[in-house]
Amino acid sequence: MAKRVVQGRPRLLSVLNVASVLLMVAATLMVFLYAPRERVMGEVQRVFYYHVSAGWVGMAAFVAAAVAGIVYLVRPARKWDVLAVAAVEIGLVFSLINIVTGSIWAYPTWNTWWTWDPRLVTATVMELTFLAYLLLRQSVEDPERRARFGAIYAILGSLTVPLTYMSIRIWRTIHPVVIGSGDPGAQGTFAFTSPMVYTLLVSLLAFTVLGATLLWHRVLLGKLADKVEQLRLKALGL
Amino acid sequence: METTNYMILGYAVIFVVLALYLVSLAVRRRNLQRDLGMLTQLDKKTNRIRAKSKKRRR
Repeated sequence: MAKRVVQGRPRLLSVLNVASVLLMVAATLMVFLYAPRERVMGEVQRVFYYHVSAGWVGMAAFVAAAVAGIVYLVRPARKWDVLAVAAVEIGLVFSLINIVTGSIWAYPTWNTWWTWDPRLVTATVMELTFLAYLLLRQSVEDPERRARFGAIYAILGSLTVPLTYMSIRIWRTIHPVVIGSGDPGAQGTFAFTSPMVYTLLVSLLAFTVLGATLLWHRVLLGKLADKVEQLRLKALGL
Repeated sequence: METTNYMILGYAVIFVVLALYLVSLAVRRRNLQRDLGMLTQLDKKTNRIRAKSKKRRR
């Protein structure tokens, strides 16, 4: 066991750290040097690669939190609660990137920073739902009750993920659809060329590895926080 | 269409948000490790005092 741990960190995590940096560098180089300039939208279309990738990681993280919640309810163990909180935090960071970059892309394309489009609204509702998860958890003192509350909330909150994903497929929208066919009224769609597809795939891979790496770091932080809390309670004689 | 500025803004936001999150992780980890060190020392001291008082009672 000691051989697999480098400076209190699992060796696989060190490998993931390096892989994340290399993949992010590769993805960034592809975005700026390999992917062609889109004819109509111009340079701002390059935001699309990281916008989609961040959205994917954000949604995957929220689903991971719900899965951890289900496992916690079936087999209550602190580690599942720690994982759920970590996943929600990672989901919030990446979803924030997704929403803000979407808004920046929208201004030159739709001529507005924000519009009450089903995708924009559902994505924001998803972000706010999980932001509330973190805030509401803090109001519950007892760790067991807090974890149970968190698990149920994460499961219910995760319903916003398929809602966000499907919003551009079931309602009238101006948001483009990347996979499958979208609303004919969508504004900002473009024809994919092979370099664009490869760049998107590498960006998705880079963000997935980065998300997993950050999730692991956040889980380690959660475990450390647990240890500190236990020692604090012991010191207080509770 | 000239949209280079928006692209730069978009990528600046991405890297700034990621950098801030990394910094927040590092700061929280450092603070927790400091707390852990202090609490471990306190725990050891408390155990020593308890052991001494037990011996005295015997």
